[in-house]
Amino acid sequence: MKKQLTIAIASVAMLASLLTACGGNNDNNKAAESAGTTTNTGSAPASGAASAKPLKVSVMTQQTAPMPPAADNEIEKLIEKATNTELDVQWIPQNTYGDKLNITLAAGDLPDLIFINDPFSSVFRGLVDQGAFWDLSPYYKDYPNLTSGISETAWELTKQADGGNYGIPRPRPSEGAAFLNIRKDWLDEVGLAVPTTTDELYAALKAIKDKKGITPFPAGVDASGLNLGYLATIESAFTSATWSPSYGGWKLADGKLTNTAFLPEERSAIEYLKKLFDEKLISEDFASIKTDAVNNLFKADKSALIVEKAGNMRNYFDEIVKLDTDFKETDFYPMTTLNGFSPRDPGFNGLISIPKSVSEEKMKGILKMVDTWMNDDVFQYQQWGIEGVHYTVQDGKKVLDTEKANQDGISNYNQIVYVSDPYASSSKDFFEPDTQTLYKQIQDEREKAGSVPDYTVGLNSPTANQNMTEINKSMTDLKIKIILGSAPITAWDDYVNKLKSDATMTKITEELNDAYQKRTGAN
Amino acid sequence: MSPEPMDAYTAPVQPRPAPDQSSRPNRRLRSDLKRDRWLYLLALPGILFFIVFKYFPMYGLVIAFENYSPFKGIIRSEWVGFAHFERFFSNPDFLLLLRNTMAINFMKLFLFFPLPILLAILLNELRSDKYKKLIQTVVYLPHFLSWVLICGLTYLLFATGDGFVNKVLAELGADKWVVLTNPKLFWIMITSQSIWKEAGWGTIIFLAAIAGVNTQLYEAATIDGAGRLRRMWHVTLPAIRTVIVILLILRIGEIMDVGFEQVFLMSNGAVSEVADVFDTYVYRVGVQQGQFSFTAAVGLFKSIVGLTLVLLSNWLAKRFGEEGVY
Repeated sequence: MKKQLTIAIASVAMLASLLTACGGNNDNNKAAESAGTTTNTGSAPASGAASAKPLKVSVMTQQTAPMPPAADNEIEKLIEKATNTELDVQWIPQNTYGDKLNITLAAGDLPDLIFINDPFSSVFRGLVDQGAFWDLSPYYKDYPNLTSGISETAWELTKQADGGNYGIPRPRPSEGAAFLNIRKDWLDEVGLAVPTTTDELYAALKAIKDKKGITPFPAGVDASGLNLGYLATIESAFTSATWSPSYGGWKLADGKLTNTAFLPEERSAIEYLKKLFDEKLISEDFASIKTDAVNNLFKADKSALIVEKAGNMRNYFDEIVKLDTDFKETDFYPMTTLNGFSPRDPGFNGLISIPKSVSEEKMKGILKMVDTWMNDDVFQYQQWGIEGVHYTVQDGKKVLDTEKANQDGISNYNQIVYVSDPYASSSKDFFEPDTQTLYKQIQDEREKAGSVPDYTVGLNSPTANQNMTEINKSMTDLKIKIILGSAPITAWDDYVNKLKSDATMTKITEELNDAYQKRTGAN
Repeated sequence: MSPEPMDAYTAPVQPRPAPDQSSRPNRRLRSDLKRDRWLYLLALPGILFFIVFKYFPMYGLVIAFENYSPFKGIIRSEWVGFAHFERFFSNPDFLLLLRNTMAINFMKLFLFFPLPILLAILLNELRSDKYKKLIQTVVYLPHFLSWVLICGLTYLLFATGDGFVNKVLAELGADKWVVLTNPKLFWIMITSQSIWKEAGWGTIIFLAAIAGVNTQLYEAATIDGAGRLRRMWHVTLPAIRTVIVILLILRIGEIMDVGFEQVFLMSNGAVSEVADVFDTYVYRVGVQQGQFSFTAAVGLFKSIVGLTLVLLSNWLAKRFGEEGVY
């Protein structure tokens, strides 16, 4: 009796654990299944010979607009018709794209066209070494839009170790990178000008806090925990180095790259941030608050400073204006420079790559598709949508219905193919004319003042690939502790002294500098 | 892990004498198979499930011993033997990860494990059946909430700036209570969250065990003059002792798992030296940096420790005269 009871109960326990295990497995299976289907359609023999039969192309890319487009929406049909293709797009939310990509790459089931968000990740580099992707350098020059619509620099910087181009760089403007934007209406209220130095910024934040009773700059640490997120922009203003997502902060001086941790300015930046924290000008929860929450505070009319591309202004404006009807577009005011610093983007954002599992003929078909897609008459579909649905023409001018466009997620197609206009990051055609003039002018001023690029883009340091994540993590952890006050600033000096004699760090510095010399010497 | 229910089915059949005891074992096996063919057929889907979904995937573990490259595949990747294990054990982070994982799990073992038992015994003592059912449902509910939700709630409650608790404290003129970024409170916070989520759900098995206790025992105890507490102590607890031991053994097998989602969502730079556990490390190094082989080695190490602990505790339980898991 007792034995039987035990067995019965043990089986219930097993069953329970089995059930949960099943739950877990199911997800995996589903993921595997969907990955499987995409490859199946991918390797279907329907390669786009010269025939009129549409070319089947499976695509994996990220979704940045709130909603993914429906599988067979009108916009997609129009694009398919124009490019004579049949698209099968897997939309992955931007936040998880990196993880999803690495897992897809590890599983080896690749779609025909895949967005590589970081062309210099160790995973992608490794796969390229093994010949998993097509080297497009012998082919791309045959397609006019791929050379005229994508800058030579972008092709140059995305070259892999062997000098091959293993993907089409997704063109982006290099000027107009995400930087600080301040509430101009509140600055006017407290009677201050737009800050140009960190001291002026401090004064402005303090004045706004006193006047409005809010936390003016509720910045949060990056979700990866590898950098200070929005606060890294303030660090950059001190060090004049643009933070690199893979290698951290590296400053170029006298032709040599130095990690920003070794600069005295970095120490001042930490002290400055600590002052902001102590006076509650940045969020008390900056260590644990998520970026989404920070952005929502700005939308909710509860913060004065945000790190964002000026071109994304409408996402915020549309929300703020509901709460504060006097809010004007130009009240979202992009700061020109801070301590003379402003960042510059590399001129591309990731690659779209074609795996070797795709036949040469089909690969050419895909290049042709991208080429046609970049034509104005095709690209406008994802920019404006359909007349009467997503935009209307008033006085000969197109007016975009942002809400409808967002709902259908049409801007997501920019994540596959994009045509770059040099001002696209700063300004959009649907902004008010005055706003467009102002934002473009600010971008020009930044360019004139000498915006700073991330010099490590495209450089390869095998030691950094393996160790930089852990170094950046421990460095960021320490900065957080000092700002919170749970470690003294002297802990930073100790850390830096230790890092100076660290063999790994020394090797990374050497490798990066060698790679940099090689590139600049060759050019 | 499922042979138990099958044993229950085959048990009544076994006593039947086998037709020819004297023949070679091979023939006996065949005749056994023939005789019980329908039972084996019934068990087949279960057996196949474990072979296909549990045993076959274990073949992938070999990547822990090679420099796995997805493009080359498992078979053609370069073999490196124990190199990844050496790198892991010589890593200064290893001891830190081990300490954090163990600390969180021992806290859960001592603070969390006894709670469902206590709760089940208390529930069992409730007189009104309706009230008992209501309480049961209410305590099961948190189990169905996802960690994302629970961590979100924790943030809403305990954020330093505008968390509910700190707002109340501020109203009362008290000092702020820093929870989310306080390394001293991290382990206990994780444990408390687990208790809140799972303690109710954990009572199910104990309640089932208590339901199986012979009521005559209670009657006898009452006649002997035992009050409620005495009956709990001398009847209920000993009756479910076996179940407690079994669950404890299974729990010890999970000592290297912390539950990635929860720790990942709750950790931040200020607490990372107490929050970094094997699971978050595997995520950072394996998924984010793509060092698949290295993290497979970490995972394999975790599993081996878990298996060893289960075997050890099972052996110990038997030494002390308890029934083990098998």
